[in-house]
Amino acid sequence: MGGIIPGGREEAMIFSSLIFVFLFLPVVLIVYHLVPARVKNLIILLASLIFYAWGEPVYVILILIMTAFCYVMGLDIEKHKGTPSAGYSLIEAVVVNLLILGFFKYYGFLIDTINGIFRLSIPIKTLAQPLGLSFYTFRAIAYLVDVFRGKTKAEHNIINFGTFLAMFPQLLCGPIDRYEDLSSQLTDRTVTRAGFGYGVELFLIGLAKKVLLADSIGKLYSAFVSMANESLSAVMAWLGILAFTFQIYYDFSGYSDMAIGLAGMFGFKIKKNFDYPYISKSITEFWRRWHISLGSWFRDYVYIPLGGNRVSAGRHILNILIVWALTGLWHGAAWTYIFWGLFYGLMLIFEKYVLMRIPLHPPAAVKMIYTMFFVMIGWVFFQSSSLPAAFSTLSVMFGGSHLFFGTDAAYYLRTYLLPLIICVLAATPWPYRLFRKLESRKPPAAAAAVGVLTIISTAFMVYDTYQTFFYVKF
Amino acid sequence: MKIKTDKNSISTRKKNRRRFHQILSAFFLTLLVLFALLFVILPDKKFSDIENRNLATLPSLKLRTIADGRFESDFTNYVSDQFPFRTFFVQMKTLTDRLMGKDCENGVYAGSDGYLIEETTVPSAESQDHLISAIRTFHDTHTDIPQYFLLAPNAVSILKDKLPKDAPVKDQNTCMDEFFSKLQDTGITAVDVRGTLSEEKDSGIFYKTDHHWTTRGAFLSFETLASAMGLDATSYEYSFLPVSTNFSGTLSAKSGLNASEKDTIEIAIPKKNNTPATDYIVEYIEEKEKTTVFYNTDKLKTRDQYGIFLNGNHAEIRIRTTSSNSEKLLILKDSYANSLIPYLAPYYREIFIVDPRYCYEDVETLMKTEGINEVLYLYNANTLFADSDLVSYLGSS
Amino acid sequence: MIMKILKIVFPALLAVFLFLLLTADSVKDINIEQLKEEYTSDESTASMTKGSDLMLKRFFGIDAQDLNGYIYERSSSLMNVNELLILKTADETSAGSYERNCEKRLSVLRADFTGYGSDQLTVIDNAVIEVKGNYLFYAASPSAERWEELFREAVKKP
Repeated sequence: MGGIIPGGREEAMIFSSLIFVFLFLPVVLIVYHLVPARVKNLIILLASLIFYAWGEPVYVILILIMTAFCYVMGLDIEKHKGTPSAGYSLIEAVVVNLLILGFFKYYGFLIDTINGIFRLSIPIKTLAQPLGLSFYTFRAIAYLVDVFRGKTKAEHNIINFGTFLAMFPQLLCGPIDRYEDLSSQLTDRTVTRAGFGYGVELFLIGLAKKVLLADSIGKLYSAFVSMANESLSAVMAWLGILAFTFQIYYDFSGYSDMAIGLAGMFGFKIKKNFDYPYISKSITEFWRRWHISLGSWFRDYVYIPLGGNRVSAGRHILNILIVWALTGLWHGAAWTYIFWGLFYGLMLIFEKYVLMRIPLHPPAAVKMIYTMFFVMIGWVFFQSSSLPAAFSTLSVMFGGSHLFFGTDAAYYLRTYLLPLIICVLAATPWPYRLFRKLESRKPPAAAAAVGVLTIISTAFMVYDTYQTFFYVKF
Repeated sequence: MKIKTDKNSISTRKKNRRRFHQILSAFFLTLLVLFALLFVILPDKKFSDIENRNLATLPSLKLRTIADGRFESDFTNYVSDQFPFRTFFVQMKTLTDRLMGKDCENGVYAGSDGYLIEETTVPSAESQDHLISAIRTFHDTHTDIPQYFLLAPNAVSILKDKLPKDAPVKDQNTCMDEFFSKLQDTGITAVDVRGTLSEEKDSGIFYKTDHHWTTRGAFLSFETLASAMGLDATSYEYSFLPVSTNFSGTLSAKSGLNASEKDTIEIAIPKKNNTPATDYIVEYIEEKEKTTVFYNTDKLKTRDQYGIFLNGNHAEIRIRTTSSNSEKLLILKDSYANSLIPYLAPYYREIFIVDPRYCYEDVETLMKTEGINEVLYLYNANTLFADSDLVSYLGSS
Repeated sequence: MIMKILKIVFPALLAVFLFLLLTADSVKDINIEQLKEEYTSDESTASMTKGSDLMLKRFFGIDAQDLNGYIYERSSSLMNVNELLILKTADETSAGSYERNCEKRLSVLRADFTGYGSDQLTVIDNAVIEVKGNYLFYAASPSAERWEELFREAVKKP
């Protein structure tokens, strides 16, 4: 798992690449701030299409047709509001979106199944996955449903609509922001110095999280992955999963920070997507803090339409399981993801129906340890290539290995001690609070600190490319 | 009164935060524009000395290459290859890693006493079996020709006490033992130099910054090899002459670690009392070049200073000597052999050297036309265990 | 009215797009001997010689009898990595599976020449592997692009 971008290709212009930071971004920023207000959205849209086309231009056609289609459907739903016709249009629009998503995400799986049932041998053509498809179809569905529900008006300007749906900061990895939050900003926004500065700060912090923390601790995770389960000590297995726990958090939240920061540089205000999930005191709280935009999407467009919690207990439990199986499936077409989702569904049911009723009030630290324990168990499934592999890792973690503590664990614990400590600290709000204090007392020192972090991040980005090529063998 | 100061400090704080964001924005924009400009203005570099490869150049813009993504990936390579201050950033990254407690980059460990030690390459059972069977088949077609296999250990085996504590490398000795045991019934004489090298492990038998053995390491191994091949190693004496003191080798380049550490390269000069003195003609076949020495001192001016031995790697080299012996030796080898071959040369009328990685000639034709009557395989363990070219070469006929 | 049409037009366009995406690679059946003629008469292959079944096996691990024909030209010089390989296979899946053989070939060459032959390395890094229908095209050469053009022209459906 090199990154969280689903189906990520190496040519894709990710935010933490030299080409994005040092070429694409300065050019877009300069052009954006030079042109008159009325064409600013057009510039963002064009930049987004170039960004999207990088590496796989053919899918620009897909995103253009999808955008035009959703635009038309939005208008149509609004026009027929209150009549059955609006309902039919909504169904058509949602079905088309889901079909496209399903086609690309589950195409291989589908052909396999068809071949199996009808004893055919339709060759599976390997199609590259369009980047960010899961994110923009979800954004589109939310928009269409909201128009139908009358929560928001339809967007009548197609440039603005395209900007909303395909804006490059959120295009590849979210957040899955809502049209109702952005509609007024699309027509009227100003880039204030403070807003721009805040965007820069978020972007640079996000960049550092991604390249300094996620990628570094990711090396420890890869070391763990390359070890055979038989030779693994229990401590090493825990260390590996801990490394993954941090890698995915800093990778994903760093990327979200960068997205929100970038949007801020263009005057958009977007809600945060992560809120220190690893300090949660329960699994329920964890999911209020982890990938917030996805959780709220499933709540608003699946869970509540199913009846939410205003139903019988049995039905409620079923609703939770449906939502979480789908959440798992959204992350990828594999049983490990579905299992991971269901695992969370069960945990939430357990907390709601069992834990909440026990009149026990352990200290916060105990609750946090409880939460992180199960979050890490969840990641075991998430990162495994198959369910048996996940269970085999679990068995090593829980004493199935002949070795509790080996030289492998000793070595990696020693060489990764400092990175691990930093990862733990940076997952809590304290360092950020301290930094806020520094900002308000000694602005130049605070800016210098971020500056140094940025130069080091650049060094890591440069080294990354050096490494890919450099491979001496005589 | 109290409320007033609070208000004041709140507004100061706000002002300070605004100042912070202004400074940061200015820094960020300057950085972006500066690097974008530097990137455009600075002339493209053609070659990276440290990596020993051509750097990517600006790809030409074509509709088709854009459509299939090739332009994009070429352009991405171009940007990273030509990024301003690239080497500086690479060193900065490894320095940061060191400060964070990391002692391994790209499979190279920063050992004690300044030694860089490359991790063990573990062979796959399948490729090892292929190799053994190819060697066996080759031996069976030439049973009358004595054949030797010198498998040299790497620093990871001999200098393993210099590795960082608990370093998770596989035991190279186990891999080598396994290889030697498989070699046993092939009829080939295995030459194991680990004992000799281990005894002398503190006398600088491996470079600190490079994955090769030193001239001394090669000489010690030669002595063991000579006794296995029935040669009298005592008939020639050498003095060692340093020719470079600023050698920064492959491991240093590969890892970016210990950038300031430098090695000394020596060459072996036959002592005057060697009788009879032997003359050589070293012929680089593909390049159609001939010299009378084993060393190319021009290479000392390049990054690849180990190339001083036999002018670096070549597909085929023929060495003709004035030796009174009539034996003709074929050496199938990697670059470890380059610094050992000078010691072997005086014992043969002709040595034909093949590097199977670059040579696609037919081995059987070669055996016939050159009239080979002895064969030596000379590899270091890490290279051999990752190699697939020797199998292809032996199986080519 | 327009709205009603558009509501159908866009899904139809999507369907067409997906259909084209799935069939974009379809190729016409070509005579491999004829194509070989075209390459060997081209001056860019002047210093190259024909590679044998044995060489195909040795360097790519591909058995010639599994194929419906192939073109294999390699440089006659030892220290030159220039190669051209075009395979015609029975179906698309096997053409795709040979892609891995070519990648392996490149990674072996890359390991051999890294830190050693910088010009060869440039050729290796710019090598082209392309699967079109039941054909596989592999080229490592400064003229790789030109050869690719010839190949694409040859298999293109009229």
